[in-house]
Amino acid sequence: MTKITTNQYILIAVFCILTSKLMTMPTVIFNYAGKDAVFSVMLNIAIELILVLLITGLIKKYNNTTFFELLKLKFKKIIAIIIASILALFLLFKGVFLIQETISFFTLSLFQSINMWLLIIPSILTILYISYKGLSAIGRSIDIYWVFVFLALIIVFVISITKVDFTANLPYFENGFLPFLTGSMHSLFYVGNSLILLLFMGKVEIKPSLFKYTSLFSCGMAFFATFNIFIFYNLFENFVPYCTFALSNLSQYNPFVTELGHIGWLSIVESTINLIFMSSIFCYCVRQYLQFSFCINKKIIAAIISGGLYFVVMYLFSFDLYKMLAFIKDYAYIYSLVLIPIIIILCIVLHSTYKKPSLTTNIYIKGKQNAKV
Amino acid sequence: MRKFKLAHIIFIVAFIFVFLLLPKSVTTPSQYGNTVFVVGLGLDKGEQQNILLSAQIVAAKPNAASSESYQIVSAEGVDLLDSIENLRKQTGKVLGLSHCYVVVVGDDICNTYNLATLLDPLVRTERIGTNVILAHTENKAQELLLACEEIGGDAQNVLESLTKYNYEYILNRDASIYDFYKDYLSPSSTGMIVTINHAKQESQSNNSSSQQGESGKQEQTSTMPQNKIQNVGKGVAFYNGKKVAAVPQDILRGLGWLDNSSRYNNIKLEHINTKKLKDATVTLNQKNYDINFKASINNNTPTLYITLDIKAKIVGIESPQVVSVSDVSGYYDSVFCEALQTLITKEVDAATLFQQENKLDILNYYKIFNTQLHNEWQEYLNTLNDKREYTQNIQLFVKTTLTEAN
Repeated sequence: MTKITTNQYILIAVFCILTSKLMTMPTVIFNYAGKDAVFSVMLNIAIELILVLLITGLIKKYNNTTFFELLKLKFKKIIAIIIASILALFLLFKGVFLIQETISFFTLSLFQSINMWLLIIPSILTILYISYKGLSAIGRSIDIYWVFVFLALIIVFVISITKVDFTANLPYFENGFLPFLTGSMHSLFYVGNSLILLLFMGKVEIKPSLFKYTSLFSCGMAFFATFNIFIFYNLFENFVPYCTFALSNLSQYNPFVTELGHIGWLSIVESTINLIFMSSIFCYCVRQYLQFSFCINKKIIAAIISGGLYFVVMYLFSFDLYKMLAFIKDYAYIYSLVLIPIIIILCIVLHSTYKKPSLTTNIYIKGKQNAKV
Repeated sequence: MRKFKLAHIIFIVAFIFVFLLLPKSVTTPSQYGNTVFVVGLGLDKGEQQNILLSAQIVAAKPNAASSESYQIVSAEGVDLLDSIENLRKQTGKVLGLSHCYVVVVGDDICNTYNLATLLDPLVRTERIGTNVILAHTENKAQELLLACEEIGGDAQNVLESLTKYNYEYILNRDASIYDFYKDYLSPSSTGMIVTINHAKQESQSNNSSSQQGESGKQEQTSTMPQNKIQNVGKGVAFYNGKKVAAVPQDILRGLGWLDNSSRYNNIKLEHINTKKLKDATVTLNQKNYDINFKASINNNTPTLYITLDIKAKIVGIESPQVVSVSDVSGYYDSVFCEALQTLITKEVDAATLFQQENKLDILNYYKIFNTQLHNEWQEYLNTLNDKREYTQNIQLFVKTTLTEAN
């Protein structure tokens, strides 16, 4: 079985914290939470962080079993398929949303006029191809591109911090805790990127430091992402609802930016990474699900079906980001509201039912107990 | 072979799609072919309550690799979007706003329209940058853009520094369209934009904005009328997007003392009498500026205690006692601080009176009270019949400390 290295896994976990948090999420939250939006962001990112840590713990424990195999072992097959289906539907929609968000970012802010299909078709094909190639392709690519993403974030952070007034949104909780909780609830769909890590179970080279470094870097990224959004809220104050893409606005809002030239490319880097890697990973997960649930042996067929599903969902929303955002804010969050606690409980159950291998170790290959050592 | 086909089937499909789309790509004009790049926009009142939109666009010119030339195009419409559409019809091209960094509004349009409503389409589009300068002119915005063009620069180059700097202040006030909207959307709904004026002058001036010709050469004839564009330290105050009053120089100076982003280049203290100096004029150069606000509500009167810590260096003394102006370091005296306190109090009082008369809260005192004394402030506001009344009741006490900078 192809495995990704510990470092690649850590980077993917870190990207899970970051992905889609700096694009439309801050504005969506602000529409509900107002000035308290930063606390909703903190709560959402904290939930994401908890998911990362729980799943990483599971990966470390069940290092020879894939997630679907583990579900089959612990539950009946039908229950395993139901859980997997719920998860796959969520990941499919998240992947579609990521592509739509990125394509809309390009069409709305970069190009004056562009044929939308010139973005949609290559994007879906690239994602489909990466998802077909599997984990090694994703891992190696992330090995190269993480530098650019972090560099972009650091530059945005440094140029914005010089102008920010940290007291701009004080006092917080003017209207109690309800706006902050509402903001967090209606944007819960943005949480749950880390559920893709479940499908990495049994496909990661486990080093003793895996959990330590994953927690360290994930916490660092969680802090960094939250702080960037905090800066965004303090810079734009009541103007936030006018800004659809947070990072795009943040990277341009500084007097010396116009003197030095555009640095809007920073948001392009972040968006491209979103598009290529995270959507591909989501697509890869959907492909895995299809192979597991419908017993499709050929990777290419599963990959084409998952790519086709992406296209169908995008078509249902007329390739319109704002329609998708409305759906997320009004309905999709309910799905997350149910799914995320289920996954957290599931992770806790799997943690608690784990038995340390002692002298006798069960080896599971493809879901069957093959031997006792 | 079979494996090869399966592995690369996606690429084959990709190629088919690209070839299908290629004919459309070939026949459609490129983005650069059907777009004019706008570097500055001007808004004036047209005929019959219309909007006159002027755009400074980059003019296509052969051999223009090193220096670009610009031209102004104008069109009228019932609102901004209609004007943009009419301008598109006039030029036959789409207006590319991604390089537009300046929006100038004429005085007539400020008097007639709600500026926040008028500019709304500009801030909602993602196609315009977030750091667009918003400036006001007492004349026509179109004329100011033309003056920029005659000077030989694009509106951004000419106006950007002028909106933030003028002959006396450094970084007068944040001047972007986003700052205007931030103020508009704030609880006080009050904002201010900087006034930039231009005039024809007979003689050549040393003003940096008026000296460059199109090719960068200095104009030689001193009698030729020249455009002079300058920021003399005036502004226009808005409430709820509507113009309330023009802010004169002295008022803006007073407001500047209380604004964290303002810096005074040179502070002149007159009639200074110390042990060493008699009736001298001392010029201080401000090096560091720290401002603190402490809010309090006593007997239903909101009061702000403001502490200004200024670090300044003596850069000039005009007095018969001073022989050499090169060595002024030994003349520093605590009297300077008292004189500065008097000067600031006088200017701040004038600015406060102006704000009270016009029911304005340009520096957003609302936010300071709301942050520091949230509950008391809300209770106080509930006692008022009109929420804007607070602007008339706020009392300011300014305490200044002056330290000599090395």
